[in-house]
Amino acid sequence: MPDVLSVFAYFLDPQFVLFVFIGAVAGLFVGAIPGLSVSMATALLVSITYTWETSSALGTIMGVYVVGVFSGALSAILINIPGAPSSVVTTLDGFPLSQRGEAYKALKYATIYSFIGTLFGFAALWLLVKPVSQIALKFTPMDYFLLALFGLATVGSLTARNFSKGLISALLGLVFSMVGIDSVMGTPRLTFGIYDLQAGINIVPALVGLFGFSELLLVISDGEFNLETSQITKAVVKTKDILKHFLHSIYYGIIGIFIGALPGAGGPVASFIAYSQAKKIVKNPSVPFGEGAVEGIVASETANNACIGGALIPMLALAIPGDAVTAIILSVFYVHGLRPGPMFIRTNPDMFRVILAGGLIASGFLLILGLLVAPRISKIITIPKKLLLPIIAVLCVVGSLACNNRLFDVGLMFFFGLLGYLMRKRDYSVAPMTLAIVLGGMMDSNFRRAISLASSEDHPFAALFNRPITLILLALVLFTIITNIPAVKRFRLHRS
Amino acid sequence: MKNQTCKLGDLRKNPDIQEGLLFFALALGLAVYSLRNHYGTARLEWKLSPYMFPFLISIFLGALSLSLISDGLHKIRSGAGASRKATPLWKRAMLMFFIAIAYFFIMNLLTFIPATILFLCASFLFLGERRFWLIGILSIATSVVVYVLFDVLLHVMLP
Repeated sequence: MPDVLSVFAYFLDPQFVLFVFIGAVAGLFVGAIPGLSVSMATALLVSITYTWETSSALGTIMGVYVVGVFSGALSAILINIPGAPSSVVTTLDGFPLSQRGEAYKALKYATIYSFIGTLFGFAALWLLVKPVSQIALKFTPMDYFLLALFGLATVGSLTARNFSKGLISALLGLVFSMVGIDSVMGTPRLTFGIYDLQAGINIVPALVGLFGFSELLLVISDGEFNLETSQITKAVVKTKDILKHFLHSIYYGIIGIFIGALPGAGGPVASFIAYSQAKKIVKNPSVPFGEGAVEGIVASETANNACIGGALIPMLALAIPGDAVTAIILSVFYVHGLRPGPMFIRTNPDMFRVILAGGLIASGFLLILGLLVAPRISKIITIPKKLLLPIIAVLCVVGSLACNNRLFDVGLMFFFGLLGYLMRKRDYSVAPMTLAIVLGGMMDSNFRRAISLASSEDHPFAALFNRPITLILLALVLFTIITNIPAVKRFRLHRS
Repeated sequence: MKNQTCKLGDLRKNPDIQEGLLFFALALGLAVYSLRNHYGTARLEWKLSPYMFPFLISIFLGALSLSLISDGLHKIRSGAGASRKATPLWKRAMLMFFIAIAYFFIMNLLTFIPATILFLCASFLFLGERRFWLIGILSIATSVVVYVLFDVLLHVMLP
């Protein structure tokens, strides 16, 4: 585990702090403007930071991630439109508070508990990554395959309304990940004679297309270009009153960390569960929940920011991302030649420190920007999107060109942009596809390795599944798939 | 007879059934591709074959597309299978998509800065901005800033 001093040494590196700050400011605006998402910004950043030093790239991305997740609450509170999916629950109490003229109070609660939630998440990351990595060292190729399959199954079940659609999105992603020269036998697959496809589908244009360009098309087709904000009147909100909810926030933080570590669940699920728990444990809220109870904001904002650290645990220790943004961060590692997994903490302790330091510095900027800048940016939230969207389109084109200087990649970005748009319009989440594109190569090689190893044994089937970890993972995969089959769901509903 | 026609119409209009059929065709295509290449060009044992994983994916995709079709049929039976009407603004999104494609091609002819200025002007106007001074300033400033950032500072070779 990296010692405390080596992590905090980054706090004294002005260049690193500057990169985190740039990311944090970008995250503040991207997260706050509805229609622009953290995943979109991170995907664009992968292409921009392609030529940067890994530490600078990761610092900037951590800034965007941490502050972007928080700043979704700004538009949730001020205009009743969550800037990010994880802030949906914040609208329930945040907007009623702002309608009562207490927007400043709502923003202050959101800022402080997002900060606390982020700290919980990164503390958990710091403490848990090593034990999880040690367990992962015992994994066989079959375990890795099953773990990735479990990740895809849970993402498919949690991000799409229809489980079949979630899994179809994941399978399409796996097909895309198969394109190119096969890593085991060196045979071209699914290239259809197109020379540029032999190198495989570059993750950067795929991400920029799926999260950037498709989102742009969605905003245009939704037609919501102009928004009105609530007025913010500065008022005295005592820190003592705010910190009254600290003990409850520990519970919400644990929920956020746990949900964040589950592949696919992420901030929206965590904030929803924390909010429903808050309704149970807070017997006498300041006002009833849903009418402007600060307790609701505390639950939602602590949990969704604690998710960040939680989602990074499986990404670093197992190379299985916890959500779409960590899938994109995983691609940053790959782009920079790093391989997350059980050995990552041992072989790349510096990068682990960079992530911890980046997250902690970003949480400091979250507090500063949230308290000082957020109350003043209500007008920026409502920048007409008719001015922003064309600029984002240019960045999508240039960003996808930047990674390899290939015009073919821009074509790929358009393809994935259109595909992502059509999928979202038809209720297919693009998160399982992203995860599958990132994990597909690893799943393929591990599966074939496992089958090859087992086939040389006397009892191949027993050789594949004779270990407790493998059986547990297999049971988890089967449980996730079976319990989400529509017929089984209908049967359970009928019985209950 | 009329009822029968109506049901066939429902089947055709149901989005789940449409998508299920599309994915089933895709799964079939992938299976045929994998088998043809496995037995035709690869000629390896299945455990080493690069086409084993795509073949497995095709099987699961086929099964899921059938599940999607079954969902569609279930919705029709329960009366919830009415097709969704696309919002009129999807055409706007498609037009924006084609403007961006045109930008991509024009960039090779006119080089980056002029093509980007043209694209931005066209997009601002298309999305409803009518303040020409703002369109001019934003188009030129964005093109130059992006050029300096990517080409000069990050050494990306822009057309």
